[in-house]
Amino acid sequence: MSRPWQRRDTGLTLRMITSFFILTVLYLVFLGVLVYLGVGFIPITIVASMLIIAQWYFSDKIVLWSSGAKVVTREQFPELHGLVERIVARNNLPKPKIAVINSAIPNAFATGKSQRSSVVAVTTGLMDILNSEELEGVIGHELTHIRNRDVLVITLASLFSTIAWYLMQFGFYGGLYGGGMGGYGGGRNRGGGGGAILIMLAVAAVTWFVSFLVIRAISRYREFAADRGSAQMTGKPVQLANALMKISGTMQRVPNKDLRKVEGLNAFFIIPVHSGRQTIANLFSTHPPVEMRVQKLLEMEASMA
Amino acid sequence: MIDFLLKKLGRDGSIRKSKGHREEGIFSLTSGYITLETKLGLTSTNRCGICIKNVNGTYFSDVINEVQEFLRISNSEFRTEHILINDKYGYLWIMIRGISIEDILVASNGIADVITERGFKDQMLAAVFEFRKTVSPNPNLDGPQVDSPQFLIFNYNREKFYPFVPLAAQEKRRSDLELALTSIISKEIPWETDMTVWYPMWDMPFDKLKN
Repeated sequence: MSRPWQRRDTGLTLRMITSFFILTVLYLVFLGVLVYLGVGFIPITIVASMLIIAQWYFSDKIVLWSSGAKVVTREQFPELHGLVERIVARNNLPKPKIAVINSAIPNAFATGKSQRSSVVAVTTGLMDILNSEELEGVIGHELTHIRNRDVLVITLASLFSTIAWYLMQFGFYGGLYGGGMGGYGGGRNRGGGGGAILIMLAVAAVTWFVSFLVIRAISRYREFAADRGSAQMTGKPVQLANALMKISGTMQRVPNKDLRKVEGLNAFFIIPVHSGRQTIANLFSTHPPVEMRVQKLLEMEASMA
Repeated sequence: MIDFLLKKLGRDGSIRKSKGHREEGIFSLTSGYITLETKLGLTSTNRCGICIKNVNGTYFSDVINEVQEFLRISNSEFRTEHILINDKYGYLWIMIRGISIEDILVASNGIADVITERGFKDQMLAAVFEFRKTVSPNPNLDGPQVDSPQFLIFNYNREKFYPFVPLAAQEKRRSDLELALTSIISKEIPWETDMTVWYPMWDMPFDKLKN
């Protein structure tokens, strides 16, 4: 009885993470080669910044490509276009491009460097399980990400961690070879630096890990903000709450079996096992737990009524 | 026996004060229903059903007779009508209709008292209160079934309320309306926060009460 949308959407996330991971590794290898070849600090900084700018510039293309999203015209998806147009018109926002991903798993994301060039992508599975009001809630959430420039915020946050990483590396090289920006001959004279390299790796790992957690925390906060923005755009927080429960499969937890039947089986007295609040898992996740988001949306609904 | 029943009835308001915490649960609706009316446009139909697991044996039927006797006596004070229905699950329903929500709250509370004192507390499954939408202060929430009843189910075992909005005749639920109910009233009355025990009750015999 497991329906496709009950599964977690690991596929899409995995594809995108893998893409960016490969890109990052490529950069590091490339820069590593430059360092090995003895290119100086300033040229490397210039090359690294150019790479980061290029990634920023092409970020939406990379995201669309890695997720398999196709930009669709109004003729192909008139209802979806109409729905987005209604929300942007009501809230005085520029209309984003609309992309569709052919996947049974319900999901949506927004990307783009500016409001004008932004793209909102939804999966076919999302359109299948949500009614139009719930879909409006999800689109409102993504539009808020665009309005709040969350792609920029997260990219900047990641940029700092990248810069910290490079600074540390060069700092160590500088210390290793007697200072200066030079670094000429960096490829030779490698013996005896084993301990230093280990420390360097450890510090780099810690830096990366901490920035990873910080980025996740920022991201979770932006999710709450996007929920709030969606509620304001549509005026129907309960619909987004409903959509979130459907997407996460939480809706399945509201039983359909009659109380009288359940009582007869004595199953009622089994205390449902709650696997605690997985705070560690929460630290690593980019999205806050659905229960918490639904709770906040219901509070908004109550204050609106 | 009549003495006991009259004692249960008490004099104006004394019933409420003599209640334990379980009854406090149901009585929380005396203020809660105003919130439902002002914020969701839901009004009480002043009908409720108490669902009791049937027991074979004369002692239990004596208790049920006692309950009916209690309702008959209280009729003059609380203006309620009632009928008994046996459903296909083997449960006994005491369906009550009053003039105001206070009538059915006091009556259902009295019934619970009688049954508890006779030792059948564990047989009581749920008390169900019916609401309907009249005017809509929030047109956004109106779905296709604006007029379909919305229920608050009080589970006697867990002593908490939860929402149940059936989608007419489909054994499906309007979860958006259930969430809307939750958002409005969960802070005011004892609320079941664990959604996994929001068990529905299909085909409740409310239509057996004539209007």
